[in-house]
Amino acid sequence: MSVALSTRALDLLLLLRGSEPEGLGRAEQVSYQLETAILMGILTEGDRLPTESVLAAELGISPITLRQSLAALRTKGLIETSRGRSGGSVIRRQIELTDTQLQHKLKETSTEALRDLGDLGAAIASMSARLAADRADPQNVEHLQGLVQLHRDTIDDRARRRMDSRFHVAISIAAQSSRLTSAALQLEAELMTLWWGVPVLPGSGDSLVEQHLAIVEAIRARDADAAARAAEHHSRSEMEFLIEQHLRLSMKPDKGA
Amino acid sequence: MEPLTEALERTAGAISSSIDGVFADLEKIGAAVTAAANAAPGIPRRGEFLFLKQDLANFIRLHSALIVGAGIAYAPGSLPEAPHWLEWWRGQPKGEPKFVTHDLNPESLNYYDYTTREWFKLPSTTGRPVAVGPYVDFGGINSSIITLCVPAPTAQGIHVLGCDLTLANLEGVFLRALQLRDPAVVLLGPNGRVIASNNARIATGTLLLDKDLQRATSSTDVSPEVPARLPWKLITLDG
Repeated sequence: MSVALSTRALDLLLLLRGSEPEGLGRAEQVSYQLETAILMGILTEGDRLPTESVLAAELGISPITLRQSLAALRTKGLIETSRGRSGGSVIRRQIELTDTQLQHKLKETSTEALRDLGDLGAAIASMSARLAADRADPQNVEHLQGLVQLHRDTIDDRARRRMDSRFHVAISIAAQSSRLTSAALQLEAELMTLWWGVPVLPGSGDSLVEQHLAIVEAIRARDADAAARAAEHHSRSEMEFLIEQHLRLSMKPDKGA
Repeated sequence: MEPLTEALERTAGAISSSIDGVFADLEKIGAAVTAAANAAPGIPRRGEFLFLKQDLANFIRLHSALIVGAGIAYAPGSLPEAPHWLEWWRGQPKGEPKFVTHDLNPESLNYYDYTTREWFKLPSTTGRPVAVGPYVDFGGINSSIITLCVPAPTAQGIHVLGCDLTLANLEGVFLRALQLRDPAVVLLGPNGRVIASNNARIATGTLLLDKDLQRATSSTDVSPEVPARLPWKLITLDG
């Protein structure tokens, strides 16, 4: 079974453009964009991509280039393509980075790089929350509230991470800012490749959930200052947590090479 | 010895011996520059210093665990060919170091006037080697770095040899030697900037403010023998 990709998912996919590492060819850039979307859960198992000509046009590339990108994803088993009338490419599996991969990446990312990432994250988060307090409609607020609950109730820690990043991107969407949304998405994509440590037990006692709720409450109350403050605080404590993990991993003596 | 004192001395020792090794090799290259300038008939041209490309490439490769690039800035007006001349190479994951182009045109928006940069000014005025930074080298490498600089005095002026260390590489040396999460320990540069710390709240590259320094409980010179060359301290903070 497959479901056509929603316009919203396609929009988010397009906003990921520019997050690729330097030095990639156009086809590799698009594969990277699609993989990031899968990693973040923007594209999920069973999603059917638009036809090649439509997707190529949306991405602003030639169908030949797109075919190269899709071939690379097919080789990795991420998508499956069938021919015919109801054919097309369907997402086949979620990308799950292993603990070792995530830990390695976090260890190799210096405190300075993390701090820099955190500074940008705090800027995006606080401005998004500030604008959302003025611009979010009741539907936006309900959606945010829903994501906080979904995040709270998700037990699998990777799925929970994805939910957390969806919440952050949703605030930028509620701020009605396409550039902030794009920046938030790209930042969350980068954070998704780092290790977030031991899973926390699901439940409302969790301080992450409380911080999320504080942001949503301030947005609901249209208190822009409080929303910005809560979002900045949340963003900073997340980065502090990541730096803690990085320091801990870096002090571990190297296992025999 | 107390575990904390021991950890601090171990860390100071690990950092200074890593840096000393880099300084020693850079000084050898500096001495070769001075010798080449002295040996040249008349005013040496750039051609007299072509050996630097290979010497610096070897140097970058040898110290790749710490440094990301190295080069030379010639004393202004010392070369007959150009009023200013800077040659810098950046190490590559594979293969030979890559030449880094700097914009030396004073009319340009991206003009890189090395003669005003601390890493050039300090060694050329004092005539002594020094570790400068951390600072963000916009127009250069665009990230927070420390530059080890060595003067090469010649009859035409003092040239400066330098190499760039990233904070990321130094952080590794610091954390592996320290092996301690409590109390907070900060490796501090002479400009009050944090080079590394074992505490997530004291961010690398930021200034350690007076209110933080008031919590300092101890201060250890990283290089007590030559503090002018490596003016770094390990500071422990309370609470």
